Amino acid sequence: MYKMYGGYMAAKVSKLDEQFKLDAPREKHKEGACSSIFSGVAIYVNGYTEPSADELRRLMMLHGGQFHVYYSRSKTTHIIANNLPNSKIQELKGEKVIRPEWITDSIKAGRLLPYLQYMLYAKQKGLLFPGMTLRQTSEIAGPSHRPLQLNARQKLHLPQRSIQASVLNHEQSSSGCQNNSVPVSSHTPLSNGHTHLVNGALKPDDLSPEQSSSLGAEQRPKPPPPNYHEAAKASESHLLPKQPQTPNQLDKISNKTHPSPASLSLSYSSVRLNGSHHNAFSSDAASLSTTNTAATPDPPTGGLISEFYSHSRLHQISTWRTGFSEYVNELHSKRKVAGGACFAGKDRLRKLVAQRHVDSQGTSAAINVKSCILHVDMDCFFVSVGIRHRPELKGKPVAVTSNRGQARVPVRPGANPQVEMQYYQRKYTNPQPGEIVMSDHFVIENSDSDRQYETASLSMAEIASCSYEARQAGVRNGMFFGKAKQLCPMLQSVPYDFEAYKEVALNMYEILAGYTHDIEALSCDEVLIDGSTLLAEVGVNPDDLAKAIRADIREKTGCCASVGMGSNILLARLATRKAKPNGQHFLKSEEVDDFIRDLPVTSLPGVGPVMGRKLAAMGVRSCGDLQQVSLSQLQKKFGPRTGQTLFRFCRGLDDRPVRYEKERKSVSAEMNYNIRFTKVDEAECFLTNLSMEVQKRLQEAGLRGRRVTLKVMVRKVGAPVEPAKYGGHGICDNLARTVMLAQSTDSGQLIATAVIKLLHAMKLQVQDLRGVGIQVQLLEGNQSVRQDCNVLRKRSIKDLLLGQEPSAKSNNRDTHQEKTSSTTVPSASSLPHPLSPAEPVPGTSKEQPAFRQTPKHSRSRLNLSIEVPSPSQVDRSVLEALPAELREQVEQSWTKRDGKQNNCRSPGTLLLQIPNQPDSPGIVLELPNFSQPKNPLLQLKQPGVGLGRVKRRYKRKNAISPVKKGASPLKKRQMTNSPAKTLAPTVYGIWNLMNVFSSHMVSLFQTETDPSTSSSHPDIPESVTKLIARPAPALAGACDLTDIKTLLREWVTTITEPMEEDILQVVKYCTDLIEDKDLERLDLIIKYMKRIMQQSVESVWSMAFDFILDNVQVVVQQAYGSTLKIA
Amino acid sequence: CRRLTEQEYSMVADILCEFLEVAIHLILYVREVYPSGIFQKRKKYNVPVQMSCHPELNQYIQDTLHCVKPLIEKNDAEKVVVVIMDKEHHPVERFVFEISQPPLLSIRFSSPLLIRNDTLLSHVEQLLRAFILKISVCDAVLNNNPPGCSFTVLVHTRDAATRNMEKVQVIKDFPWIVADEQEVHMQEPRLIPLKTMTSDIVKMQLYVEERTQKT
Repeated sequence: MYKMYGGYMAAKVSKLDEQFKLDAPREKHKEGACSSIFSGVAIYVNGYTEPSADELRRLMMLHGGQFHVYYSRSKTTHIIANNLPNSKIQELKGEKVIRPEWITDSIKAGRLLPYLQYMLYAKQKGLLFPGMTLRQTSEIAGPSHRPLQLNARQKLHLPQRSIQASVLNHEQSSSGCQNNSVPVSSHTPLSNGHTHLVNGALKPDDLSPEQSSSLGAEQRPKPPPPNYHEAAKASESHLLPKQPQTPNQLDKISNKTHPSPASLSLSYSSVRLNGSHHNAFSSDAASLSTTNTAATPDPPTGGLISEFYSHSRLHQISTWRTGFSEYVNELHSKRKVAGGACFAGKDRLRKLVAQRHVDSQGTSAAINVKSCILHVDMDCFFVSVGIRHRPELKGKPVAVTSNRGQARVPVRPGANPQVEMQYYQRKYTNPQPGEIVMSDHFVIENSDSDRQYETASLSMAEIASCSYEARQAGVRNGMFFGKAKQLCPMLQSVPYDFEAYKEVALNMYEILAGYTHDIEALSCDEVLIDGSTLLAEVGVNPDDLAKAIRADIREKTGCCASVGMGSNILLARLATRKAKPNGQHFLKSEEVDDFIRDLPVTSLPGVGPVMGRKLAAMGVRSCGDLQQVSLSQLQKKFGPRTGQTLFRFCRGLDDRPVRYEKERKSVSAEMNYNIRFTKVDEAECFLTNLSMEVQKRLQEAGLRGRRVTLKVMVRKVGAPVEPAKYGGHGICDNLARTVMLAQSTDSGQLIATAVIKLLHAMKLQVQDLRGVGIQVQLLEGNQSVRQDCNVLRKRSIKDLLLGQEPSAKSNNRDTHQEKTSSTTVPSASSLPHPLSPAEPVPGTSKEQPAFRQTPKHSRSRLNLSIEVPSPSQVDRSVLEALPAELREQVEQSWTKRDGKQNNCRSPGTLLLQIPNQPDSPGIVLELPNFSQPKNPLLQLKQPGVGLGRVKRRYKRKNAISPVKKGASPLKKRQMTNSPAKTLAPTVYGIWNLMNVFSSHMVSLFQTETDPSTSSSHPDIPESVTKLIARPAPALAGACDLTDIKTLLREWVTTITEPMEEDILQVVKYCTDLIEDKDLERLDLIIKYMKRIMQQSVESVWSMAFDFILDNVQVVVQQAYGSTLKIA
Repeated sequence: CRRLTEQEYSMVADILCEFLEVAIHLILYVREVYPSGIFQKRKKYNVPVQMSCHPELNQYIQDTLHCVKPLIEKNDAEKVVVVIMDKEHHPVERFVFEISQPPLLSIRFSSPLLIRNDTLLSHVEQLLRAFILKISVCDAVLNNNPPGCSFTVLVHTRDAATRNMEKVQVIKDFPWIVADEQEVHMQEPRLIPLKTMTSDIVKMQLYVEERTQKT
């Protein structure tokens, strides 16, 4: 019977198709206008649409497309819908669900438009990279690869599916929570879980008749396990008191879902057996992703980074902030040394006040401001500097841009600007209509398609800054020049003038430093001043101070500045908005409430477009709205910290201090311009270079970080291969992967190794990469050390700024080194080097002498940290191509190295290489060299009795691990030069070493520079890597639980204040335990620490515990999706 | 060092499935998914355990484990999860048995048969006994479940194992299906580690994930 029915359905479908074909010419004839833009397109309309399904059918007829009344996975190419219920969205993930406008617009345009920006749900990422969007062990049965699977397995047939829908009605209604021990179809085991959720029409198609017959026959569910109720009866024993209520509920449920008594047991005892799956369909992904054949506008990537950063002056400006921060730092330290400083501005101010006092007595009564923050911001900095000496441009609309003035540029092949425009426009305007438009430059009249074609050829040079006159005409910063010119034909363009910016910014900082040193540098044209002490000292009111500052700036720089004042940073910044242009505003505390209520939430710092949109979705637009939202709600939505901040900000509360000494949270380098790789090697090489840039920045800031994040922008599937902006990134998906290193580092090599691995793990097509960024977090620093240095090293701010130049050069050199090194691939035969305690060094280290570089080295020689390959390895022609200056440096470093060579090979340098995890090709470890200068951190550590000393005891106690053997030469040394002080560093080294060993985190201490080595590693037979033991996690060498407990107790009881280093080691150990899947021990240790640390008299211990716990919870959350229950 | 042979894997799977059966019964008893009346006291691993005497339930558990076994044999099962769900079929508790390869297969077992030696087995038995004991007292660290709970068994597979599972059915008409999001997702789970073992042949840990708000 089913078979017949199926036959009927098949016949119906084909008849409908025929009908459609017959109707089409008639319709075409009637209409007159027809085309074949939709040839090859077959749509299925789901639900109500605008225009209606009938109309769409007609349109498809007219324009050569197909229209399916019933959905067929194999034949239907696009699903058209205006909106879909959530369950359907889940179901159709990976299908192309497109808004009907795609059809109408395509017809209007007379050609098939890319459907990308018409996707109904922006979150439909497509199937490009299922492997990486899914966590491998994710519990969610990765929806994005479901379609792949559907293709892979037997196809289901439409007809009898829809019958089933009626026959198995009860199942459909409850299948969400239903029992799959009911084998609906023995032939399609995995499918039945979701397919029958779909409505009748949406059934996959073409199942063979035999299968359909078996379906009917094997409908009998397997006896499921008895439910509680049944079981209780069966046991014929006492009924529990709670029993009576159960049958009632049972009936209720079953009435709702299953009218038949047979299904009663089914509904209740949903015992089921199933598996979630998570496959990495890497090969499928590869075939799915479109191949990139378009011409790449790309120079060889090797030199790209340094080129980008040395040419990108804008980038330099952004780095100035660090420079200015340091300038302020220095001011402070200088003052400490000199025991006072002269404040020219302050003196002037004093005089002014004195004068005022003479003029009118008693105005000083007004000054009772407790705390006052000033926010000084130059008015359209780039513009005002640019037209400083060009008075004829004053009062005219002016924009600073790299464009030379012409508003039009030819369109490049492969680019499709309209698509991008529309995409952004949709992205920004569609989700929440009526929301504040964040990116004005994407606003284009959609209705008028002619104009869109025009915009396509307009110049896409961005406007860095524009004058107030231009702003009045609707021009905005960041707008493309071509577009701006349309809005404001009078617009004049002014080129960048970086020297002038530098000069003016410097001037401004010097002026401000004349008043006070409580300055926080925000950027080259934006400064926060904590005026509290100054005002109290001098006895002026804030308005006078602001006036004085502004006059000063105006006089010395010829540019205007606006000053906002308030009792905290937030209010000062908000006040500046009111002050602009060229004014000042003091936001008094009594005015705050009224003032802030009407502000849009997006004016709050930290509320960007994304959060703005999220808030708008909650119906929150103004700060007043935000005040209505409860703290818990905000925290739930945005996380505890952000939630709290929002809660406070919208009330004008802000307790951030003005920090003249900025503590950096992360150091990063990113590039999303001109990224076009063709080969994996290029990407790897690029990452290495970028890592070097990060290293440079880390070292400049004197920081080392543990968490490394790789961010990539990947061309969105379906997006044009060539973006509208030359070398730009176009429409992308942003992805990020993070890895925790075993210890903090500032070495570009380590970072590079880590990120290259991350990149590989992401399984991307390198051709589709459009942007790459590396970020290092969890910073710890030699900051205090560095500050000391600052006192000695009297550097002017000018040096700081000029200092950028040489470092850029050294960066250049890195690149060259990179190029040469890639020509010499170390032999793979040397790789699986056995761990031989007897001869620690020579064998391995000789093989890649040039590529080794320890973190130590880099610290002792800041910018020159990269070792140059040995003469024999360098391609002469490359060397000759270098500028003479660089060549000399390279050659010098050779001669130096010859002298140093022995030093490097001293017994202190130990190279160990062990294959570790399947995915980590090998580890090269290097112990710190004795002869090298001591690590400043260690020197700092010595005074305190850290975990280190305790550690040592443990180390003596157990000497079994392989690490021990490897390190034994060191140990001997350690015993002979026993004075405690010299001991400390070496112990530290071992300690680190052991931790490195015990860690099987993804971190890799591979010290080769050459990225290609990683590709030579796979020679190691896989079996070996798999079978090698991962040593048990250890804390200071102690593995045993009782030992660790003793260690911890000793630590907590003997030390009053825990050191960060030690705390981090404990955190690390805990993380290792999680990696090692030993949650039980983790639980015991956490509980033990909780007991001893919270008991401790010192509250710092309590805090330390909280810190440890927080960190552990984060990792647990990452690994298991839940957090530990701490009783 | 060497890999476990197929034969050994099948043995490991035997041991584990036997253990899982005991554990599931005990969990159902301790967490009061079924009335205590249907359980009988038995002895396993030399400790008292509870075992259901409801034939259909027993059959179901057996069948389930029978289907799990091939996965363990191939080292495809990453986690075997006993999910306890409330009346609305939202999970309230999850007993997660996370199974991984032993960290190191020591050289001692150079011949496949040696794995059968008694010391090893008694060692493993000892470790499993600790699991059982932990399960029997786990109600001390867990909150009470709402009345009317049911249970289900989920398996988290490694890599592409699901593909094979689609093809091969161990027991006829007893197929695996992909778990619904509803069954897998738990609101604000809290994690309570119960036991970890590392032996020469298998590494396994048991933890419970518990919904913060059970009622």
